[in-house]
Amino acid sequence: MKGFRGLINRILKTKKTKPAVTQDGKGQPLADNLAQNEQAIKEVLGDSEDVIIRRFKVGMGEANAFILFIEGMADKTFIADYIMKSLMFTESQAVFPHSAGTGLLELIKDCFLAAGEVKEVKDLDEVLSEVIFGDTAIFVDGSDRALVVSSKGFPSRGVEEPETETVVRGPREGFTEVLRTNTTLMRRILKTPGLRFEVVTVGRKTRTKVCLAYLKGVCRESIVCELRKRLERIDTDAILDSGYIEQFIEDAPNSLFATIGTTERPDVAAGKILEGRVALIVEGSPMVLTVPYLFIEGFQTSEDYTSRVYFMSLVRVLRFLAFFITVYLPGLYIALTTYHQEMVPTSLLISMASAREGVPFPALVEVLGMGVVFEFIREAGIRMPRPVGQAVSIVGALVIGEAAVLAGLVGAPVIIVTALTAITIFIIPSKLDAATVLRLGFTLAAGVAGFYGILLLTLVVFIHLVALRSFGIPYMSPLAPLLLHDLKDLFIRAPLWTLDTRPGNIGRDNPVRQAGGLKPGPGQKGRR
Amino acid sequence: MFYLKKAVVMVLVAVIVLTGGCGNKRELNELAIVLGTAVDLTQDDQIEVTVQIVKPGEISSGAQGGGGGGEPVVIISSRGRTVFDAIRNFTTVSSKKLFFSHNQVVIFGEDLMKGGVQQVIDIFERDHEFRTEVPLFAARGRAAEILEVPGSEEKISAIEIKKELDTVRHPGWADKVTFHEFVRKYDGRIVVPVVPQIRRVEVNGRTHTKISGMAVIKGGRLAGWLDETETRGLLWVQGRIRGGIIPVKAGGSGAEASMEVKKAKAKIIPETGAGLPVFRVQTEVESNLGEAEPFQLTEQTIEAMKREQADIIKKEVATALKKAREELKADIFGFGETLHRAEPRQWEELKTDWDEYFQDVEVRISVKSELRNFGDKNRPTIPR
Repeated sequence: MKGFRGLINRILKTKKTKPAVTQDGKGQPLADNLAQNEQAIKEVLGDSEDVIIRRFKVGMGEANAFILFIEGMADKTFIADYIMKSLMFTESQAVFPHSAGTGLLELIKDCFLAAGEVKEVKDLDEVLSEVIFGDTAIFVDGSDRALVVSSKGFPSRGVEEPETETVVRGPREGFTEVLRTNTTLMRRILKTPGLRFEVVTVGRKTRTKVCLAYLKGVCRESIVCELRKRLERIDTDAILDSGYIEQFIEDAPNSLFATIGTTERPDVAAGKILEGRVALIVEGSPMVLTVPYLFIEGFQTSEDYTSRVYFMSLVRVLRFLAFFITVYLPGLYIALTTYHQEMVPTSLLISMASAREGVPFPALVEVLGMGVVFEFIREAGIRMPRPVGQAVSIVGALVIGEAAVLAGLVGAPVIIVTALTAITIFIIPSKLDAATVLRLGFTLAAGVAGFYGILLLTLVVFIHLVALRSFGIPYMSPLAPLLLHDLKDLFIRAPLWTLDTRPGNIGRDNPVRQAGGLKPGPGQKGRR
Repeated sequence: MFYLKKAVVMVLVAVIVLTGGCGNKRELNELAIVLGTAVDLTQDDQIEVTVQIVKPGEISSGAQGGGGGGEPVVIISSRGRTVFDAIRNFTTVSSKKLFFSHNQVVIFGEDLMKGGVQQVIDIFERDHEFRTEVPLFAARGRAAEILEVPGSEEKISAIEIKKELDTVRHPGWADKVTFHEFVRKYDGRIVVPVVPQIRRVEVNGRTHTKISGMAVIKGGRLAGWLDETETRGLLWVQGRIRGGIIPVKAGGSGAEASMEVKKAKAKIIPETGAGLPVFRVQTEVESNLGEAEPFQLTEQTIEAMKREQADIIKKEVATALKKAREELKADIFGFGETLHRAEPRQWEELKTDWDEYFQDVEVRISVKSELRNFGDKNRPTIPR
C-alpha cells in the first residue's frame, strides 16, 4: 500500500499539463433560427459530401424543420422509417399547426418520435460530435434546441474468432473494433449489476472513447481512480489503437517489459475483471487492455483453466522453459563454445567442433547473423501480402537453412539454436518483444564475457524486474514478494476447486471467489 | 546530478564486465581437443608426452558427408624436461592450442613408472585444464604405443579404452582408478596405490588394447604387476567386485557350472589386543546360477556349490595376499588404513615399519556365499 501511495504521489508531483481539449466552436449555443443554425453547421463541417441536411415541413403543416446526419455513419433505413415517417405523415397532423418552436420540439420528442434513444441538446458542438458519430439531429424552426436521435449504423466487422490467443477448448468469440459490440460481449459474460462501464473520451481529433470496465466491489477503487487520472492526462491528437493508450499510461515506459496486458478475448478479459483487474476497451481496437499486469500473466492462457489439471500444469512449466530457452539459448551456446568448452560433454563437443569446422565466422557473428536472418523472415511473414506467403517459407527453410549449412557458412548447431529460439518465442507471444531484445543482450554478453556476462546481465534484469510495478502491484508477485497462496496458479495450475481466492494483492478487497470444499466426490452434500 | 550518478554506475558496470571476464576466449576451431595423454620416459631421461587429438571433421556423420574418409585422430609426441615443458613444445608441431579438459585417459609408460612417477603427477593436479577424475593406466612397455592402436569399435581409441575399462572392471579383472584416487592413496602412504594395466595384444590379426591386471606403484615406483586372479583377490577384499563368473563343479559332481556374481560386499575388521593386530576379512557374495551341465538340483548340491564358490574366492584372496606380502611387500589391500581408523595409537607405533609387520600379521578370511537364483529353468535337460 505504501508503494502504491508513493507511486500516486510521484505521478501527482510530475508537471501537470493542461487537460483542456481545445476545439473549434466549443460552447457555441444554438440559435432559434433554422437558417442561422444551418449556416453555423456548414461553417463547422464545411462542404463535406457526406453531410446530409434534409429540409421538410413537420406533419404536412407549416413548421419548417431539417434533419442532419452523416451518410454512411447513420442508418438510412432507420432514419426514413422512424424519424421521417413519424414526423411527416403523422395522423395527428391537426396538432402540429398549433405549436411551434420549442413547444413543437417537445411535442415531437414526447409524442411522435418512435426512437429509443433521444436527447435534447442546446450546444452546437455537442450536437455535431454526436452527429459525426452516426446520430441524427432534428432542428425545428424557432427552437434553440435540437433533438439528437441515436441512429448509428456504420459498417463494421462481425464478431469473429481472434487470430491471436487461439484455443482448442473454450469460447471462440473475439473483440471487434466497435466499442458497443465489445461492451456487449463483456456484459453477456458478466451478468451482474456490479459490472461498470465508465467512458473517458481521449484524443483531440479522434475523440476516441475509452471504456473502463470493472466489477464494483471486487476491483480496488484506487486502481480505477489512478487509471482515470492517467487517462485524463492524455492530451494528444489521435488515439488510433489501444496501443496508443498503453504507451501514455504505463508505469515503466522505459522498460523492456510491458506493464499493461492486452487480450483479444472477452472470456480472458472477463476473467481478469473477476480477479479484480480493470479492462480498458478502446473504440476502434480489438485489443483490450487489462491492468494491473504482472509478469506471470504472459504464461497463462484461458485454456489453462478450461482443460484438465495435470497436462495444463505440465504445459505451464513448458512455457517457462520456453521463455528460458528463447532468451538464453544463443548466449549459452556462445558461452559454451567460446569460453567454457570444458563444460560440454565430450561427444557433444566433438560434434559441435565438427560442425564448426570450416565455418569462416566467429561463433558470435554466426549466431547474431542467423538471429537477424530469422527476424527478417518473421517480419516479412507478418508484413507481406498473403498470396506470396509461400515464397517466404521457401526462402527461409531452403535457402537460408539448408543451403547456408551446405555451403559451410554456418554450422548446423547454430541453425538448431536459432530455430529453437524462434519456435519457443511463439509459445509465449506476449513476451515476444521483451524476449527478442533480451536475447540479443544475452548473446552479446556471452560473446564478451561468457557465463560471467550472462550472469551479470541476469542480475541486472532480475533487479529491474523486481523493481517494476504495475498500478502499484509488484510486477513479479506472487514470486517476489512471495505470496504462498498464489503459487497454486503459477508454475502449476491447481484444480479449480482449490482456487478459492482471487490473486492476493489484486483482489484483496474481496478475496473469496468461491465456497470452499467444492471438490466433487461421492457423499457430498448438494448445494442449492 | 542524476545523470552523473547514472554515468558513474554505467562506468562501474562496464569495468566489471570488461575487466572481470576470463579473457580466454577461444573459438572451437582454434582448439585441439586432446582425448588421450600418454607419458613416457625416453632413453636420455626426457619426458615424452604423447597426445591423441581428435579431428572433428573426420568424426562427423550425417549430411555433411566429410566423415569416414581419413583418420579420426592425430597422434603427436613432444619432449621436454618436464611435462609442462613437453606440452609447450607441442606448439612447434601443432597449429592449434592443446585443450586437455576432455582428456579421457592418462597412461604412464613402464619405464616412467620404474623411474618414478613423482616428477610427472603434479601438473595433472595443479593445472585446471586437467580433470582429476580421468582414469589412470599403467602401460606394459611404452605408453605412446597404446595410444597408437587404432580404435576398433570406437573411432577414437582413447574413448574405447575408457569404455573398455568400464566393462572389464565388472568381472574384476582390473579396477578403475581415477587420478584423484591414485593421488589420494599415493599421498596418504597407508594404502599402496594400484593402477590398471594396459597392453597391446593381437586378436584375430588385429591389434587391440587389453586391460587386465594391475600395476602396484609403491613409493612412487613400479613395484610389480598383479595378474587377473590376483587382481580379483584384491578386489574381493576391498568389496569392489561387481560381477563376473565363478566356474564351479555342479553339485560336487564332474559337471561344470557357472556362478554369476550379482552382489559382493567386504569388510576388513582389525582385532587388536596384545601383539600384532589380526585382520578379519568378511566377504559376502551373492550369485545366480548362470549355466550348468545337467545335474540334480538338491539341497546338498546347492550347498556344495556355495561352498566351492567360497573356496575359490578364498583361494583368490590368498593368492593376492601371498603376492603382496612376499613379492611386492606392499599393503595394497588397505589393512593399515583400517587399523589407522580403528586404533590410531597402535597404528602410530606400527606405521614406520608397516611393510615389515604387514608380512607377519594374521589375516582370517571368511566368505559368506549365497546362491539366489537358478534362472528360467528348474530341471536338467538330459538326452535320451
